[in-house]
Amino acid sequence: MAKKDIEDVTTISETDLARLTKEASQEATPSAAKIMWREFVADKPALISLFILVAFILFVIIASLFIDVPKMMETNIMGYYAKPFTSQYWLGADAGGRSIAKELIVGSRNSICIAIGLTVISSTFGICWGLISGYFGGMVDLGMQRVYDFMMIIPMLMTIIVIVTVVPHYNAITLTLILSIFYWMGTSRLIRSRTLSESQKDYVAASKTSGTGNFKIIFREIMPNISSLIIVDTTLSFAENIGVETGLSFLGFGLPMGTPSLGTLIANANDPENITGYWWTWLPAAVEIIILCLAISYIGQVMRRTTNAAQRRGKDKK
Amino acid sequence: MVGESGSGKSTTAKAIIGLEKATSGTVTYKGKDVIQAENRRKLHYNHDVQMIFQDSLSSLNPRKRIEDIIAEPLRNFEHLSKDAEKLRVLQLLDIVGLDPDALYKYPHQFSGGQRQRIGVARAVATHPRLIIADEPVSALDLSVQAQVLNFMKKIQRDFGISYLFISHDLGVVRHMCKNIAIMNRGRIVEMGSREDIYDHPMHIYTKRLLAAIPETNVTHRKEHRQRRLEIEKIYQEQHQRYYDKDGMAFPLTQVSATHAVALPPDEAQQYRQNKRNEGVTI
Amino acid sequence: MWKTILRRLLIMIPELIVLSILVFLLAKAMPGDPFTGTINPRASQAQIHHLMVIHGLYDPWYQQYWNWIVHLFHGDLGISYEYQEPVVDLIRQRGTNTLWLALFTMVLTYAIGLPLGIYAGRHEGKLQDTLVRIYTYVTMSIPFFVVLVIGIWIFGYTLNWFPTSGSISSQASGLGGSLISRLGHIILPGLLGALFGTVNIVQYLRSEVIDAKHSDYVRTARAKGVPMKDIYRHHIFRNSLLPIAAFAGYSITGLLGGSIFTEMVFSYPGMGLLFLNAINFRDYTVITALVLLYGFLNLMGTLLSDIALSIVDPRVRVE
Repeated sequence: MAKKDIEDVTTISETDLARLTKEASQEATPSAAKIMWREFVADKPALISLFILVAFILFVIIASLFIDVPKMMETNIMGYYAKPFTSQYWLGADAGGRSIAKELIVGSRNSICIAIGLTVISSTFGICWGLISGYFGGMVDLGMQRVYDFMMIIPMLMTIIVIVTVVPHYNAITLTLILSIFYWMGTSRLIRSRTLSESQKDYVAASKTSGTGNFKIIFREIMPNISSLIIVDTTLSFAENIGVETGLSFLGFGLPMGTPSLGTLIANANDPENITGYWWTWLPAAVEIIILCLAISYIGQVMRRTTNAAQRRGKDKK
Repeated sequence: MVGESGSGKSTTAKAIIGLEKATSGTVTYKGKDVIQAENRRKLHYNHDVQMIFQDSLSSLNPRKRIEDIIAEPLRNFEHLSKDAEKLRVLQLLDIVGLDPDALYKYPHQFSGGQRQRIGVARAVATHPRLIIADEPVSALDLSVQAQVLNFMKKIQRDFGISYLFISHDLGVVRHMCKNIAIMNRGRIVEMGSREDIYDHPMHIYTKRLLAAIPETNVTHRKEHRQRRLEIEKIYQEQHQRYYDKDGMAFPLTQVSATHAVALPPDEAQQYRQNKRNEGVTI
Repeated sequence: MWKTILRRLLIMIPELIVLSILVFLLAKAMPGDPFTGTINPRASQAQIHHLMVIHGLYDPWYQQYWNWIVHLFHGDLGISYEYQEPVVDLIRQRGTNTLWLALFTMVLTYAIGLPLGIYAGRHEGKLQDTLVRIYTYVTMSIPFFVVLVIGIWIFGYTLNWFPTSGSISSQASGLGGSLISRLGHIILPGLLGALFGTVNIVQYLRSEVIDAKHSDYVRTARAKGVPMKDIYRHHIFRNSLLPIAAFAGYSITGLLGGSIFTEMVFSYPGMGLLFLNAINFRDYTVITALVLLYGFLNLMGTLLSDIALSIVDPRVRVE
């Protein structure tokens, strides 16, 4: 049988190619991010929370640049428990005469940045862990699951506290790293189960028979298909992670002394005198955390809704 | 390759192409055992052996454009320039009868038949020698089935590609295949040319399978029914003889140059005897 | 069945060993020797040195680890440097407090979560469902320690409804009186813990009930003319409640972790508060014992849940 080459049986030539390359991919499926954006535009409360959240984060980051932290943390006897709503201390001052408003701004910056760092590190790790464990299956999965099981039985909070007291000169970065060791399991479990079912699909088999390498399949074929899950999970873990560092600082084992955090501000409430008499030392921080977490979590909920096409509110513009 | 569901057709196919690890035995290609992933890589095995899947939707990555899907094996094996690659994809689309516009679309924008043709185009992309088609049309409408099958036949004629065509539809197999293997309970029970199988079935399972093909001729309905019942009766009486104690088929016995059947030991003995006798007379 | 249990038990052993080594090394890595500041400040270097020798603190770590393990198996967790009391006794006293609080919280959690989840699932998409979902969204999002602080501020200090510290009032007398006093001390923390810990139960039950409602077997029962009430009682509840009950073991992890915050805010003398004090005083023996105990309890919790689930749901079993 005379073998022909692919070129011989078709009439397609380079001119057609030129025409087509000019054509933009107008009918492309909207990406996960695009669908989510559309959903936000359609859902006003979600858009407002997103706007407030971004504006607030930008505000604390920029405003804290203008605050001299060491000077702010100095004790000032004149301002001892100064009442709020005065021109000098518009949110009052604590036992050391430190301005609560300034502490709040710097503390928010610190807490939010640590939460972001923690989310980025732990989610990245959890996603990779889940993808690899779910994709390879077999012995690899079994071994990785054992590690996961072990991490789950470790008393997390206690171990973190012990490590924090053991590590000699720790700062915000080491603290973030320490926390990251313990907060990747939820993500990895979620990603693993989705990867397991995704790996069974034929397009993965097709990529294998096309000679594509395993890691390329994992990160270029499977990962885009679970991207919406990843975005939603990351948002929700961000809300959760705000509570992690602040909680630890609240107990007194978070950020080192002299570094304000939302948690250390709320820790003012541990003193029975403060909690009743000097409410302004801790209540603003508590309210801020509640609003922050609710806003982030709400954004996450809206994102989750977009992954479920049946519940979408934003219209597909075609 | 024909057989009922669960008989091991897909497993065989997957073991051949390397998607599943064979528990025992070897698959030899160019003198190397390609069960080893190492050997597969060295030989560029998947450049020469490709696969078409049953479920056309799940076999195409929903997040990728048709261009990237068809170009995937090319990128891994042929390293063409960007324009040459795009041109090749367009030509492939043309071969399977799709418009060049398809290039920038996503899988869900196509019908089942079109998607399966895209799957065919991807399999043909590297100009392989063997394409394993695992029930490529069983998920499609009958009208579309013929269309896809005809494209596959045309490609076979044009490029000289072998198919390992897996199906449980005997009509389709008759249309597509020159050599047929019947599988049952994880083993091949009969293997031969199209004529051998359809005109002289010898294994009890094959006979029963062929009798199960529905007849559209209404006037002979009674007779067909009669014949089916007869074969079913023979099957019920004799099928013990065709399987060993564990319910497995016996090893294949060569009954003619093209035809091999998993006969029961006593009949197999007879055939071997005859063969020896022939050898003497010639 | 038995194979599943045996397998789980076998997996437990290496986990326990690794956990104990980890805990021990962490405690050893803590700075300062345990006597600094806790014994007579005029004690000379030689005396401290002598104490260190007696307690075997100069031995290589594996030697100390081995001694520790051997003592552990004899039920001897050592003596607290801070309280000058055997750690076992210390944990026994504090443990009962924590146990009462945890049990109370758990019972309340289920008492609130089960009806809410079923209720939301039954009224899927209606106003009631939306309200329950807003409730779960709020409780899930807010960090628990903030809830505790706000709770004690409003109900403890401002309204004076509940005591704000301790586990039993000093005026309480008689069996009934002390019981009521004890209960009074755990109502607020227990209620807060339960209200903000139902998310998993509610969400799981809600989706279970909704799934069941749309499943074919329920549709068949409806088609036969079985009233919806009976379908809920005979089919849906049975299928969804058993796994929920089996989850109880998993929730131990959350309860124990939360106990540190709860006990700190309410100055409730349980194991969590004991741990925080031990950290501040570098009380090695107490720290190691508590971390190990918490890890062991987590392990037992998951073990129990795994076994219970494999009994309830045959699909989980390993052969």
